[in-house]
Amino acid sequence: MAFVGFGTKAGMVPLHIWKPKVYASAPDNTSSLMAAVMLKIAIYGIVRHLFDFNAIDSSPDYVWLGMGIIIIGSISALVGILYALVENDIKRALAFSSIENVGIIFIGLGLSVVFAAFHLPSLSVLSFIASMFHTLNHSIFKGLLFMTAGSVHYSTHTKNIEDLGGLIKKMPWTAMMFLIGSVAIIGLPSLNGFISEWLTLQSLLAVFQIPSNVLQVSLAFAILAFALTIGLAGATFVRLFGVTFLSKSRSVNAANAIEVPKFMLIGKAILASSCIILGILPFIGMNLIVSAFNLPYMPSSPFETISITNSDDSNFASLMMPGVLVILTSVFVGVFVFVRIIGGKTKTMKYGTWDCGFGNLSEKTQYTATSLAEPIRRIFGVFYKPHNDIDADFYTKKNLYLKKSINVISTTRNIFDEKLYGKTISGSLFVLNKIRKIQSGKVNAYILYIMVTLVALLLFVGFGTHE
Amino acid sequence: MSDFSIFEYGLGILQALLIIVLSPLIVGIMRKIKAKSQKRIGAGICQPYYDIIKLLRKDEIVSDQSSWIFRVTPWINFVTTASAAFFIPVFLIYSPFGVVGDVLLVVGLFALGKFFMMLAGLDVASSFGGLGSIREMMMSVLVEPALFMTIFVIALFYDGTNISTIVSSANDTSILIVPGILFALIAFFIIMMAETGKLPFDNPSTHLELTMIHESVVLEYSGKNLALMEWSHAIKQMILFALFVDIFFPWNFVEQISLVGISIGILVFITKVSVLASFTAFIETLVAKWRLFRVSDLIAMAISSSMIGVIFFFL
Repeated sequence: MAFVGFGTKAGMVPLHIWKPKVYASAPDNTSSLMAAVMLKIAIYGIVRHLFDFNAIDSSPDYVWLGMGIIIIGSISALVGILYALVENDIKRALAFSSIENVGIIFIGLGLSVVFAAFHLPSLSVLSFIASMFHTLNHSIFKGLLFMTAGSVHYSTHTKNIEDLGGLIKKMPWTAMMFLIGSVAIIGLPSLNGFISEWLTLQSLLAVFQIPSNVLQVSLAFAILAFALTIGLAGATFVRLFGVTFLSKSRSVNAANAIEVPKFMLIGKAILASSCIILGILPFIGMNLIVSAFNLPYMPSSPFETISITNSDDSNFASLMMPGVLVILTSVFVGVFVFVRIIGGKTKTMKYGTWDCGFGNLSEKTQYTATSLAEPIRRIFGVFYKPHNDIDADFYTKKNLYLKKSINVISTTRNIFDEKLYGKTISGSLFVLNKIRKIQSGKVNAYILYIMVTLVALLLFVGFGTHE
Repeated sequence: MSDFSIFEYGLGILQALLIIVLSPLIVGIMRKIKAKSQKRIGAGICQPYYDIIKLLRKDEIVSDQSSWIFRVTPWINFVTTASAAFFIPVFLIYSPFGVVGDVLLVVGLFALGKFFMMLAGLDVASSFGGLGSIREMMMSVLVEPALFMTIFVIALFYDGTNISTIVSSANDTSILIVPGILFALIAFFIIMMAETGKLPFDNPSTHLELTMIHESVVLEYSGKNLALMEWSHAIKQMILFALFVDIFFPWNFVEQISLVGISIGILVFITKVSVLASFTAFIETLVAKWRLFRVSDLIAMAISSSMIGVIFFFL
């Protein structure tokens, strides 16, 4: 029960539909706060419930509870990101992506419960840290992304990415911040999202230690869902960033946008730099988690290597982000020097984009947000039920090749809104309408109802005592 | 976790440099074999080197619509791909940098490069770039789960995602008696073809908008930037080939470090990779480009193949 309540607040599928609507219509600063802080209260509630009020033992109940959380988490992650991908409203897309991240957090939490139920404490702690670290990270980068989306809204007065474009030249700092947020949220190395997704994946990979074949194979499907989520998240943020900030402006508002005031940038800069710091020195965040939850682990120095070892002491996996940074920098310096020596000095000219010799590349010839999502919409058609209304207008009826104009209305639908909630609402309305018929307004009819109820109750009580 | 001497780190750097330097050669060999099997003479196998050097010396043209994203992308792409080379064992059975990162980091580094490449495709405001970007996007969305499932199978069988651990346990067991690994091999091969833009997925030798994926993303690049893009593509291919032979054909690694031993190790490595490259090139001449939306079937095959591998492990 508590899980359903808090889960609704956190926005798990299928109890998620309030979230995109609220996040999109809330003021920009509030939605940033909602995603970053309020959502975490729900997760806090679930964590308290799972680990404080219950002592997890090896009863099958806890295994199934954990598996349930993992299944809901995987579905939330997948569904959230699938709808984020086709969304044209930037804030709604971010809200859907919050659902995805809650899903990832739930996968970690569920794994933690399952491992605890099988008496694998160190793995349980690993997945718990993964999940809590992702919670911390999510509050940082989602706050950052909502704030930048708010800035875009502030200077262009639109949230529809179809009307944006080219903002990287108008608002370079905001674009930079959004880029950092995107790289962090899709879990690319050197920023914080990578660490928590790495940890979650590692705890998913550790399922071979669970002594149950059925669970192992079903958790393999969780990996599949998780991997698909990561891939889709990448595509989502390429599309969001690419259409909003790159290429030509698609409307006058976007073309006339100006950078937001400095004070609006400072807050974002703090969040962006914490993304970078936590990405390179993840132990700062992990020490916070370890001390906050009194986990049985010693806080370690920030330059430590995260490593997971096998029972025979060989290295299962390890990750040392400062080392990665050193390699990246030295490769950069090396190749820069190499290119300079071999290539020498060359000139760079600016010229128009190649237009196949036709000339006049306008903002209409570039890819739009909707067309960018097209292949994905086709492949995952089950979830979207895409529908194209093509309305062609011909010059003559005889020649159907010469068209005067073509009007295409392409729609995607949210099957959860329509199928689940639509059906539930129409179903309950149907039942309620039937019930209304008994309310006739006649007093003697009501007396009959009271009578029938009384007899039914008496019979119920009578049969009850016979036992 | 053992500590390595400076000498061993030197060998590690040598391994990475080998991958980076030899990668255009493999491209050359593959082109030659494709040409031969199509009854053409083809350019010499060193041609990719000449191309890169020539491109590095050329002036470049940058689109006036583009932003700094377009200009930093080749650098980011090259740096991430070349850094991934540091984690791959070549002639040693381990990489001294193995502690720093695992195979998931390598995947992540590739994804970082690809993310910027897709953005650069969108940056130039032409429909070619966008076209390349969405196709690349679609492919990466589909390839990602297949790749993770394969890694999952390999990690299960060989106790870890750390590449050095994987390779040493692969060296200890014979792959021919492990059916799960064979399924992982099939899956990994399909993924490799998809990731390096090989024929059923992408036809890198055309400039026809119906077929191109990778080429249309790099269409606007010229000069130094194009050289970096092409070279990093070659390195990525080399890394995937090296991973493939390391994991599935883990024979003849250098045990005693001596000058002769290392040279033999390098020769063995080059032979293994060239055989794999010739095989891939040969397959490329046998198949035609598939329709874009049929590609998902092939990747689904990779996913189910690795899923079978997982089930084999647990049975």
